[in-house]
Amino acid sequence: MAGNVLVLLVGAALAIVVRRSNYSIPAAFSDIFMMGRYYQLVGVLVSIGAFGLVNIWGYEPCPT
Amino acid sequence: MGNTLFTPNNRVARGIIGMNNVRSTSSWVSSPWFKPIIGGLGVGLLGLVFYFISPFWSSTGKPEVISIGGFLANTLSWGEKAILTTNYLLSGIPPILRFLILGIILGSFFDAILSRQLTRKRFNEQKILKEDLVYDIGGGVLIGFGVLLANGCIIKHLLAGVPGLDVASFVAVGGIIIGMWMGLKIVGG
Repeated sequence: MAGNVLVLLVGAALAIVVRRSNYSIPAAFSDIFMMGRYYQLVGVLVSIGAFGLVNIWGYEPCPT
Repeated sequence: MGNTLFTPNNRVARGIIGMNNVRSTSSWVSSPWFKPIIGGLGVGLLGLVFYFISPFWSSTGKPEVISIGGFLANTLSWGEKAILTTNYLLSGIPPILRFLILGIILGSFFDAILSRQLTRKRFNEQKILKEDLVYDIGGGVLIGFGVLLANGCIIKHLLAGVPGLDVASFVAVGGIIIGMWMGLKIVGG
C-alpha cells in the first residue's frame, strides 16, 4: 500500500513538473516541428541524459 | 521621493540591496531555454526515481521504466481481465503502473486547483473544435495501435530505450519523428 502511494506521488509530481514547466516529451516534439521552438530539444536531451545515469551506475534500464 | 531610490532602473540602489543579481536571475528564468531544461530535468529524474522504487512494489519484482502509453495498455488489460475474467486482446499488467496513471491525473487536478486554473469549458470555448473530433479519435486509435505494435510509447522508448542504447528504441523514435513529419505534411501544421 505504501509503495502504491509512493508511485502515485511520483505520478503526481510528474504531472506538476509538466504543468509548471510547460514541458512534456510529446509536446516538445510537436513544438519543435510545428512552432520551430528548437530550444525544446534541449529539454528532450536533458531528459535522456538524466535517465541515462542508470547506465553509468551499471543498471539496465531497458527491459527489451 | 523615497520610492525613487528603489525604482527598477536605479542600478546603484539595486546594487546596494543586491537586486542586480535578482534582475539577472529573473532574465535567465524568463528565457525560453529555462523551462525545457527544468522540465527535462524533472521528467528525467522522476523517471529515475520510479525506476529505483518500482522493484520493491512491482508484482514482477523487477524495475519498471516510466511509460505512459504502455501503462494505459496495461490498465486496459487489467480492465479486460476484470470484466471478461481472462485476457483475449491484451495481456500482462504490473498493478503498480495503474497508480502512476492515477497519480498523473490527480496531480494535474490538484495543481489546477492550487493554481486556480480549474475551469469547465464547452466545446466551442476550447481550442479543440467539434470538427476536429474525427482527427482526435483517429489520432487516439493510431496511438493505441502504435503503442501495442511498438511495445511502448515515445516516453518509454525515449526515456528508457535510447539511454539504454536499445536499437529497437532508436528505430521506434526515428519512426515517430518521421510519422510526425508526414502527419504535418498531410494535415498541415
